[in-house]
Amino acid sequence: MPLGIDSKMNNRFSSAMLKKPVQSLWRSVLALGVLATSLMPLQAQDVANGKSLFESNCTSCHAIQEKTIGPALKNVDQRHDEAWLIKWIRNSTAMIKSGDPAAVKLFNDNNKVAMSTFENFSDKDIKDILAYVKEESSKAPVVSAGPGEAPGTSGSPAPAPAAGSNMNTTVLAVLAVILILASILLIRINSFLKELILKKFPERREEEKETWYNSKFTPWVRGLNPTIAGLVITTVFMLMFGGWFFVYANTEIGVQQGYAPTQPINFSHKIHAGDHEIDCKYCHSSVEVSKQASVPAVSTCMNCHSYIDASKKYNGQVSPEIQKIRTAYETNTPVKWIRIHNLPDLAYFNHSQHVSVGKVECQTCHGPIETMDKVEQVASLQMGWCVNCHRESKVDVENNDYYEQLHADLEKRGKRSITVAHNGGLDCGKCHY
Amino acid sequence: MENKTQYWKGIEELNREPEFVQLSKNEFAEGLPLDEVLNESDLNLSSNRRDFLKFFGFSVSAVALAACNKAPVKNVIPYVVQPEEVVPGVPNYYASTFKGTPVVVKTREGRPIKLEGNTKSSITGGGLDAAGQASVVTLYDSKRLPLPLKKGERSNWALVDKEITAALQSAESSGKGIRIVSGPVMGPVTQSIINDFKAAYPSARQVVYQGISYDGIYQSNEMCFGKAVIPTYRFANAEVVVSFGADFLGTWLNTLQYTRDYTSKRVPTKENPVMSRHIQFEGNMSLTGANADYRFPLRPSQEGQALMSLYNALAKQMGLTQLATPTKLEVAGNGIEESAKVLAGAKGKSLVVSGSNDPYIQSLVNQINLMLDNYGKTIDLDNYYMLRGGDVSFSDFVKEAGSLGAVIFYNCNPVFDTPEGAALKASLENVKLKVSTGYYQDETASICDFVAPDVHFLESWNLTEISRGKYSFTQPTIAPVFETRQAETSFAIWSNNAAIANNEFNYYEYIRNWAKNNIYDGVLGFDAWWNQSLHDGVFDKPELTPQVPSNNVLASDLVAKINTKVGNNDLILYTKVGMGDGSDGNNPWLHELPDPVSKITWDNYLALSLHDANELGIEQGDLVSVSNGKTTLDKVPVLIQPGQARGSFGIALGYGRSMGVKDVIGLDAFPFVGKMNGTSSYYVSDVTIAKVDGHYELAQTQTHHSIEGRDIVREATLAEFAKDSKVENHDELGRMRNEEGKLYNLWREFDYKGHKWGLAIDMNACTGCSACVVACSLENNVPVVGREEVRRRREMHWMRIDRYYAFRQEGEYLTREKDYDKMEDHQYVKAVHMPMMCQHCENAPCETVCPVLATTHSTEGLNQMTYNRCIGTKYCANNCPYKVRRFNWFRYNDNDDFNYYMNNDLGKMVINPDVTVRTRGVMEKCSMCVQRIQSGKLNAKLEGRKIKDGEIKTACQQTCPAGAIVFGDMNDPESQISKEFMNDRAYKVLEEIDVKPSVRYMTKIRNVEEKKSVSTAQH
Repeated sequence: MPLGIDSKMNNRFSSAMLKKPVQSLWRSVLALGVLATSLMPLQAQDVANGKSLFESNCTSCHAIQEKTIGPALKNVDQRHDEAWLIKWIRNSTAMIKSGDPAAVKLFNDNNKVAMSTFENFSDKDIKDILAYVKEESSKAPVVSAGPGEAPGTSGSPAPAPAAGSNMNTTVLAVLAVILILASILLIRINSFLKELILKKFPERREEEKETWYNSKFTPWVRGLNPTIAGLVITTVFMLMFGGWFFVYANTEIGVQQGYAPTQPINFSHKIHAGDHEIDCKYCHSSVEVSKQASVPAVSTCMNCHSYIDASKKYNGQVSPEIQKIRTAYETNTPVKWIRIHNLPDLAYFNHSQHVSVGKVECQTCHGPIETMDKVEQVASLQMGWCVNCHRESKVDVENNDYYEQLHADLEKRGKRSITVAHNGGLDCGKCHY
Repeated sequence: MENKTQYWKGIEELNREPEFVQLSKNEFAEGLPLDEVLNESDLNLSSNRRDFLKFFGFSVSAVALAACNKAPVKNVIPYVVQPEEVVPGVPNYYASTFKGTPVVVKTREGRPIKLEGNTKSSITGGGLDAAGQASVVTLYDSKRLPLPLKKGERSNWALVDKEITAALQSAESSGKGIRIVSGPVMGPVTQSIINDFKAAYPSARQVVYQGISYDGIYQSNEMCFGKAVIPTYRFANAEVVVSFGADFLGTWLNTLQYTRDYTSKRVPTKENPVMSRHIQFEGNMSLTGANADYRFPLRPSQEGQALMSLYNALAKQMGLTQLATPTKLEVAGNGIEESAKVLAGAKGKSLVVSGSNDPYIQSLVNQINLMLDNYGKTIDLDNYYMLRGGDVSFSDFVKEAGSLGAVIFYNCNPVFDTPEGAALKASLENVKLKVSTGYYQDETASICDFVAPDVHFLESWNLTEISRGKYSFTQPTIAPVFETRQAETSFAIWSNNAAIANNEFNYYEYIRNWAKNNIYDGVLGFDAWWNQSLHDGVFDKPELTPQVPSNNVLASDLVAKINTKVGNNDLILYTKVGMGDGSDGNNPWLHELPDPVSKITWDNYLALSLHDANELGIEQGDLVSVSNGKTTLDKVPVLIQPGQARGSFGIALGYGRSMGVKDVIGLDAFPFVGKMNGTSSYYVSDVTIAKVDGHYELAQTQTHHSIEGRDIVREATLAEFAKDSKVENHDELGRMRNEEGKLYNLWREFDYKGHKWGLAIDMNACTGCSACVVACSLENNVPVVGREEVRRRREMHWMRIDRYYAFRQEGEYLTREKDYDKMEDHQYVKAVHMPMMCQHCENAPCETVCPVLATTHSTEGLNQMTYNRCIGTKYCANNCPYKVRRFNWFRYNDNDDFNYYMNNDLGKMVINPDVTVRTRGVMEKCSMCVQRIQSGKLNAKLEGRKIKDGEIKTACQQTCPAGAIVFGDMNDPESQISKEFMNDRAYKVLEEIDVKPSVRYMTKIRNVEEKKSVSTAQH
């Protein structure tokens, strides 16, 4: 049993230790390269800026050396001229619509998946990115930067589920039982031996009687009224039990804080939201408009995973976890995810209210989701927790015309803001109906 | 100007019967049902100490065990490929059509969950009736046929199609004839498919009938004007409406249009204190009669005489030739003369209608309307109401039925809903091929060889022509729940329609082609037109200018044809609001809906007057047998109905369905339907009523939630209103009733800063049609509780419509205590309908008594109910002056004793996911549709704008065909609700107890002559 814990820990440590040096090595090589190139007087573009822009905006769909969702960007500067590329990156859809032959061809070659628009990029930004890409193109594909390679649990076979703590408890319980049995046995043996000695030397019996226990405690106990004593003892026990039950009921019953079930597919938020910085809303697309954030349809997964298969890590085979999603898509079977955050039917919660209107970050309630390989319920989701936030959060009355009247009233009273609670956020009927 | 009228809800209240008094003392009619619950598990309450300890120990350990139980694993199952238009958690709306009413269907994740009226419709303006509201439940009805049947056994479509087609061909070649039997076909495309079918089988003929027939109107218009149509009656142009037994607000023809038009003339304002006058002559107390200014009891066999007198009275005033009538007519007191007087004063702005199905009576009505110059103004024969006729009359079909080769019943049930049902069943035995396309195994389907079940209207494509040139589209909102197929497709396949390509018949394309060739106006491109029309759900061609028709009939020729023999006991066969002809007999909401007048649920019954009951020695709760010599109906429960004309007895049709329904409910009165002048007659004269043994308690909500004789309803005459627009809202000292007097408040005043929601209900517009009751229940997941629970006064409706009777005699209002003995009978009653729901009091009495703060007040003025906090003490219900709180005695959604739609997985699909499904042991009540308020606010916040007035609608408001309910923000001075609250008619119910309700009612104004005697002429 302890083996399970160890192997799990080893696994985690070893993979982390293995990955880290490689990554840091890669980073230092990169940094050196960047440093070197940035020192070159002829290089007008800011490759470092290009790199950071590239990493924050492009890597979810593009890699330099290989085709992912979008085409491989190696030597892209040789395939299209710069002006064309700038136009394309800013708004590829418009170009396709306008019927630019190169654009249409590119669109068709890539399964008609439209590229996101980047209207906010300046010419310089795009030139920086292109410079970075150009530089990267010249390097040999030493270490793959493809998304499939990302660290995480997807590669290792599913580790023993979170049974560790349960097993600990079991072991301890078994040990406790054994110890109790052993001590009972020892006490029995002890008294049996005493009995034997007393039989042999009956004169010792007198000595026994003279202990403090026999002289003071026994008469005191005998003097107590058995009914009252019984009642007192029961009451004390009842109070203790009641106290325990009260605490237990308040913190345990229906509270699933820390609940982290094993999902049918070993999906890692760390890889997707953390390492690749895919926007939460890409998958949980209805979070801004609906009460439900919604788990993405299989087809949404397939937007990327029809190309990304992490085969590099599996000796050319498709990752078994990715294969699950592909199978689901091909056989038209929905994935039965296990619901982690369960609000009871009596509480109404609306994501769009909190995310779009209240501008609450996902992490406020869901914790550091971008670091979780396996999602767990971070918040208790108890009413006290909700109410607390309502008491502390301010209503943004300035940037929403809905609050026009309220804003004017506040200004009249010389206040700048009020909390959700002051704006009726503690009304029962806000959530219970 | 104090209100002397005494209002009461039922005879037991009026008579202060001991049982009623006893029950009214308690908020809950019965104590806790502990014995019953415990007995089920062989436990009982008369337990000793040991049993107590056992229970105690059990409960403690059960709680402990329950606490140890791990939460069940729940799954999230997303789509494989998410449809583009579906966003989980956000509803989609699609326009569609329910039985000739344009509707908008709300769907959530692909499930239709609620219907609303289509506001783009020029006919309804956005209203929807109770039957329409309830119809979404039938989509998930587990009694629907899941597959085609052959000889009652489950089969498959390929086999059924092959055999039906072969049998049709052999029937055709045998020359015996094929018949398609159906109700009126309102869909022109469906008709086109049937025409194709008739072309493929030249011996095929179409038989069109209606369970509730309007043939009399067709035939009279053909006789008089050569136009076999049902005209469009324009109540909006009528300043005087005189109706002879036509329940045009409840069940007669296109009630939604009539309700909308009628109420538009019924709301007087301070600036313009005018309203139409409505006089009703009828036997039963109908919904329409309850709304009339004057109501005169009139038996249906007297109708011919009454109309002749009216004709003569009018002719006399206009100096025209009077009819030579056989006898001196003395019916309905001076009602006829009064009517003639006001009608003559409103030539061209009046309307006389009759509910009779006798073509000669309808022709006489036509002559009266002609005399009054009403054609082209209040009666429109050119933009007629679209109920198409067939090739062969139904009675001819019954005669020839035995010799036919094949009969197809297209979504109809003539074995049940015609008096010839039994004869038809017998003669059809020899017919080789009998097919039904209905979606239940009903009375007709069960004698058929094949059942090819049609899809529900929410699963189908179609196009309906409601009245001439007014089209409404039907589009599927869900893939068929069962393996059913649209009947039009079946017809096309059986007749090998030319539009079949690659063994597929695409009805959608067929409709598009039809629309392109027939109604497309060519202004936009066809696709754009099609998409726009489908989006709007309705498409109107320009209306024709109504013409005055040329008359071919002399009124004097009609006299001999019209029945003037006044029978003794007239049995009136009427239909109920909601249930109609019984075709939706398996819809629990239509049974649970209290009848708007009698407030009875789950049964039909014999309604009779107090006078007749006394003469026959019948009491409420007795059973009687009703017979006309040929047909006898045994063990009919009776209801003593105020307003029932003496010598008339009413029984509702549409009940007593025996097949294709979960339970047999009520008794089938269709066998009583007779013939008069060639058409179905919905009354029988000279019936015998005899008391039989037994006792039956009707499930009536009428006197539940007693009001202890307080001043609830305010009513005044139009003249009083014109003189003083605050008419009823003064107290004895002449102070405004609404005025804040010197009041001391126990509570600190609360400053409602943001929104403050309120509701205004206009009792002049409200007809009592009860659509809101069903709409509210479906929106808020209110469970159906069934007959037994209603008897125990445990109905769960959050919204009820209180119907108060008051009576007057000799021009005076009579009050209960002093004058009851003076009352001759209950014939002359007036009724007021008052929708009653949680009043969201600012000083709510319920809130102060809740020991656990489960009911509290919100910062937006709502009285909130927090179910998870409620422990069910019921103190709040005891302390509510309006009696609007409902206690959940059972877990209705998971209890086989309440086996209605909420208790099975399919039926649960209709549950509104935004509203909690309440469990046992908690109190619930109207929340003013807080889920709609919240979602309306959120939409405004998401779009960064203020809430628009009228953007948020409560469910009751949205469905109301009369526009009687207004909801809005009272803190917005520009909102409609703020204006309504400033209305002089506005008052708060029970304002003397100063609970400050957020709901205000508008005093009911009736257009009656002041101090003018209403006749009580004796018979």
